[in-house]
Amino acid sequence: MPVPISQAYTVARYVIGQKLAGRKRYPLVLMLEPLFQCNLECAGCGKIQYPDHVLKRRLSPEQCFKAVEECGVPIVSIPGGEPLIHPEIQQIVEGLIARRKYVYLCTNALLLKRRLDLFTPSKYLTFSIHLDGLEPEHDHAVCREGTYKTATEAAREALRRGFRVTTNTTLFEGADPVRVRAFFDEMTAMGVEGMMMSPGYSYSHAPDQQHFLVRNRTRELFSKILSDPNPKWAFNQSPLFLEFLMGRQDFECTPWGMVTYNIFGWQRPCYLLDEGYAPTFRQLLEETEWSRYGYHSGNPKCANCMVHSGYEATAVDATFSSFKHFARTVKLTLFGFKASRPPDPGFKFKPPLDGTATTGSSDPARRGCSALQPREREASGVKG
Amino acid sequence: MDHDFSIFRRLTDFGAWLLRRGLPFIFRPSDPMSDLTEAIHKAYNYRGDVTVTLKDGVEIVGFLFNQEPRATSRCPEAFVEMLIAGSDEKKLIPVSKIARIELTGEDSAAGKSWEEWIVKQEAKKKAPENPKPV
Repeated sequence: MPVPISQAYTVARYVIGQKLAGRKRYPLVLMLEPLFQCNLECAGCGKIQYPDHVLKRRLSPEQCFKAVEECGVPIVSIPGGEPLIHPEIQQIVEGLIARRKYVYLCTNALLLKRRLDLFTPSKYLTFSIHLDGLEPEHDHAVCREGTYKTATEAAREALRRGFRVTTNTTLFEGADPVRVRAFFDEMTAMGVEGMMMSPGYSYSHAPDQQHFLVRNRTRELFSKILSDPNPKWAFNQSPLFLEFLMGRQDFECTPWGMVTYNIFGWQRPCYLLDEGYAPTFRQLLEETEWSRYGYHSGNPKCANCMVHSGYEATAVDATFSSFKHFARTVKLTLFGFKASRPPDPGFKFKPPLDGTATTGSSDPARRGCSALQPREREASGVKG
Repeated sequence: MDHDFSIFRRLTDFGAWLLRRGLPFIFRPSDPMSDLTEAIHKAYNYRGDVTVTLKDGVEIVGFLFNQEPRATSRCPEAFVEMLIAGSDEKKLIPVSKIARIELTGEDSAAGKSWEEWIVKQEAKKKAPENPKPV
């Protein structure tokens, strides 16, 4: 079981509660960004490319708690920037745990070993360590040598002290399935609770077209990675989402499924696209033109996106929407993926309205980090 | 000569017609609203501070982090929002009050794309480890 039963139960109860309440749109995870400042400077990272006075700003613990209470999610993911830089990260985490939220603290782990004393092991707290592959791949992705060693040492120390530890990995064009599988073997041998992965974000206007995964290549890559998997691998994410990445499920994006709150407000419409901010969660839900987003909307920015922040919540929702999906989730959780299962015969791949499915690309903006924020920057001619 | 004169006459006729029409397709003044919309779009996508000059002459310097092209519950018309440098204030500015927007701060994204990093790394690899002093 990649997550504790209590967490699975909390999520199940929450989703069923939303359905019984007749809510069409509800978030599953809050991506809480208490700061943008980072101790890495990954090339093209849109989260850190702000003027100094913006990078110095922090959400206070009270602002964080208010956001969590406003949206009512059971899971809070804390990316950034690097959250361990935040001087009040201990209070933020403790406050969220006191509210019985499952916290995923997403970190590059460069400071983790030194900051572990701030935290107490809890079923509510998981360190989600950003690792984009084995040492050469990861260090290349984050543009600094030695990062992998430091991060894995910190992960081992956190595991030794009894913390929940997972990894999060973003895969881009050119990723070698054999190396990715070797990376999963290494993380499994290290003893992490589970692994998370996602393709890099795709955007057809991005200049670096060749490095990004279009949908068909995404499916091909993830099929190669996940077919005939090591039975010891554990993934800390919905098995239906993994099947979606492999092309065995067809889901539509639910951009409200993982909402983002940061120093600017509630990000519209999703974690990846940055098209404005709402001051309240209610305004985000009620005043965003959701029909403009998602694969079938024809929005070119969404044409190649298969990122977890848009589709994992869909997969979780699907689990509780039909017996077929529920049974499939249980089966995959208990028995894993079959070696060469053919694509789902019921699977119908619908191209987007503007036909960009095979011509777009992914955005280079956030290589090496799942926290993509592709804000169009015409002035500089790059995406970030 | 007759032929040249004919061309000359046609040109003068055309000139007269243009003057009558107010040279519409040559000197058409740019649409200020369209220019402003474009400027807002550029400012929103810019990764540095901008200076917004209001129609009353007031200048506001900061990071333009939000744009809303429609009327919402917050404001009955299109607006932008800025984080003011050196202050915690988030300033909401109706678009109708804006006269001009300029990208005045340093672009924090300039030269920091993935492609540029790759080019620099490749150049570093090609460079001799201990270059001789010139």
